Amino acid sequence: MNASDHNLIELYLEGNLPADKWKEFSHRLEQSADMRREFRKLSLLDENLRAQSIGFPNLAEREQNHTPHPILPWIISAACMVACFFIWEINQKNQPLEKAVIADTSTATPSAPIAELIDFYDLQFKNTTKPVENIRFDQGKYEIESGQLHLRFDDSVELLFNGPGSFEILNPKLVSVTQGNVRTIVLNDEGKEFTILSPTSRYIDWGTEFSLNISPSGDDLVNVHEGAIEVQSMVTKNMSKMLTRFSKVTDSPEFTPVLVDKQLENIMPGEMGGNRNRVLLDEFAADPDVIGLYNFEHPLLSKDTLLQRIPKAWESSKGNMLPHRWVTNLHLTNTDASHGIFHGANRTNGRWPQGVGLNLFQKDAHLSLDLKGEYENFSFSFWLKPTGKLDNPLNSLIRPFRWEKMGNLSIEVTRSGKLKQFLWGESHIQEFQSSKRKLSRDWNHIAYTFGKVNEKTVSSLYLNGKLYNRVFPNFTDSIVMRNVIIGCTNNNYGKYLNQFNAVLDELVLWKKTLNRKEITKFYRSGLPTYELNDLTLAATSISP
Amino acid sequence: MIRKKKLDRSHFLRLLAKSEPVIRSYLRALVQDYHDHSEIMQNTFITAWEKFSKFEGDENDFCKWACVIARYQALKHRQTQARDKLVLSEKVLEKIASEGIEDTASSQQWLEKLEDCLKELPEPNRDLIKQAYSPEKSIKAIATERKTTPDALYQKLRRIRKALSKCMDLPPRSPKKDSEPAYSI
Repeated sequence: MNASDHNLIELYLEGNLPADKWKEFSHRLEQSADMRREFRKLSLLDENLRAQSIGFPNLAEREQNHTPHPILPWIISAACMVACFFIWEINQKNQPLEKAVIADTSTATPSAPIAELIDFYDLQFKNTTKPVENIRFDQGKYEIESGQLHLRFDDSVELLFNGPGSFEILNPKLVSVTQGNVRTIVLNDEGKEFTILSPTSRYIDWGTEFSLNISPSGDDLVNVHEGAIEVQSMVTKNMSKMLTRFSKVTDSPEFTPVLVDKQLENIMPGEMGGNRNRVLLDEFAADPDVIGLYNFEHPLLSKDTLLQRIPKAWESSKGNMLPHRWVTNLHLTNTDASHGIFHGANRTNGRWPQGVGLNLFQKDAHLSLDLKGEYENFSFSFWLKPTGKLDNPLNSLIRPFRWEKMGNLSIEVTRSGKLKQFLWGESHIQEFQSSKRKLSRDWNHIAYTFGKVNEKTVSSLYLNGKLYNRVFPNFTDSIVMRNVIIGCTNNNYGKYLNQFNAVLDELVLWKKTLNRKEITKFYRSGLPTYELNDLTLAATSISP
Repeated sequence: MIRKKKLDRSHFLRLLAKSEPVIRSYLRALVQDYHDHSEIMQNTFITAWEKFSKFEGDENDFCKWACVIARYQALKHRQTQARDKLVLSEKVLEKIASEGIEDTASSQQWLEKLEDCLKELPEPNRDLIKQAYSPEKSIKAIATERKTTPDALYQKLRRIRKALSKCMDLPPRSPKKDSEPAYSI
């Protein structure tokens, strides 16, 4: 290849090839295989000089990063040195915090740990069998075999960790993670610059929420849900890139093995309670004493299967019943209770992230169910979040379609938000119902039990795990709940009255009398741990 | 299912990390503009990742496979540019692209050799190269700093590149001759 051809290539790569030379250049390239080879070589040279000058690792570095043996110890040493440098650098920045930590650990009096335990689920640590509640989350390494953990740093950063994996708390603003799935949420300005170190990169949180999966191979997946994070390479320390929730998968930093994965959605606060609750619902689904279990998810059963257990009130409309109006009874082996059908309602967010509840939002909104039997022992529980005003002196929460016979039960809510129970023919029970507690505007757990205790029939209401009131019926020996309406009442002429606007979640019906311990357990099942700390376990005596 | 996807990612990243310089260089020959080049690189990687489940082969196969994707991306890009800009003819690009795919082994060898060649480059020339290719300063600014003209600087850079290019074609040297430079400028 002659010097002129070489010169043309150089001019082309510099971007200085004059317009009148393009044709010649193109022609020469077409004619000469040697020139094309030289062109490819010089392009390669040009590209790699450019890449190296802006900090891309050269081939040797790439080889080192991806050759596990025998130079691995050297890489680890180098990475440790770089990590130490970063830690030192951040510690310098956070000196007041660092001092506070030292002061905390040096004093004999118990002080707040660096991270506060908020919640956990199914958590197993590798090197300790200590109850999680007894672990102080101070500086140190924590290896998790399985499960989920929710920590809070300085009331400003939420760290949710999903094992297996390990992390090390270095200071209140720095956590090193070698493996695991993390979700970080900065709650306020104090939490800005909270940093997660992975083996290859560091992630500086500039006030945001992001999910990060760190695998032992050093490949990280990241998804920013809100705000912005800065990704810095631990290898080429000068390289950094800001990622936001608008970052696309194409914005993955090229200098470090980090991929933006828009699908990545790690655990959220509250989900751990949700997990516990899910386990409980699975138990209910297999419990022979449960006759109805409704979580309001969209029905997965075929229409034919659903029609076999249609509530009586809707039998005449079964031909044109829209599928979305069905609420499946998840206890598939017990046919005592029908599937549900709602009217004037829709599905909305339930108690848990990604969970579904039933929003009774219209004036005549209600859920219809049909219970076949007459139950000497009977209980139900559900979660309820009021959403509207209580306009009437009494607002029906649950009652039979016809108020007509012994054993009919209704639960009403007064205008001030107090609960009252009614039994047909048992007017005296009104005198014994007094309670100062009211429904809150948040989620309320309501449970009802009926049955004999020490030969005496007892009808009890529980609110948020605690006994609300109890009455002793004179004549009622079983509960009859055929054609139940939840959310309103009717005037016997088919018109629905007394609106009760609320969101319902997790409705369970039993053909047994629950005791206090069970009700407390169900109430606690899905609560975050920190709420549980404030509660005292109710009496364990077997009395409804 | 999720676990497999993660493993695939890891595998993909490893292959990509090894092949990236070759793919990058391959594309450089097909796309002149740096910005377009970066964009096509990204599109290539995304497409490669999307189609990765269908890929079967080893490291070398991956490089060739990714180059085929890059070639398609580059030619597609050329079609959009052809009306507005000066571009190489499709025929030439096709030839360069095909030869590049057939000869990824040479690219790998050149890259390996380039590391050695750069080490042997005299310090001032290495600094100049680093400065010239850094996006922070223009050639004009560097020329002013060095009290020379842009043309002279371009000439100097061309000489350095030419020397490096020659060095990249040399066979690997025996360790005894390490102290002697393989080329001079």
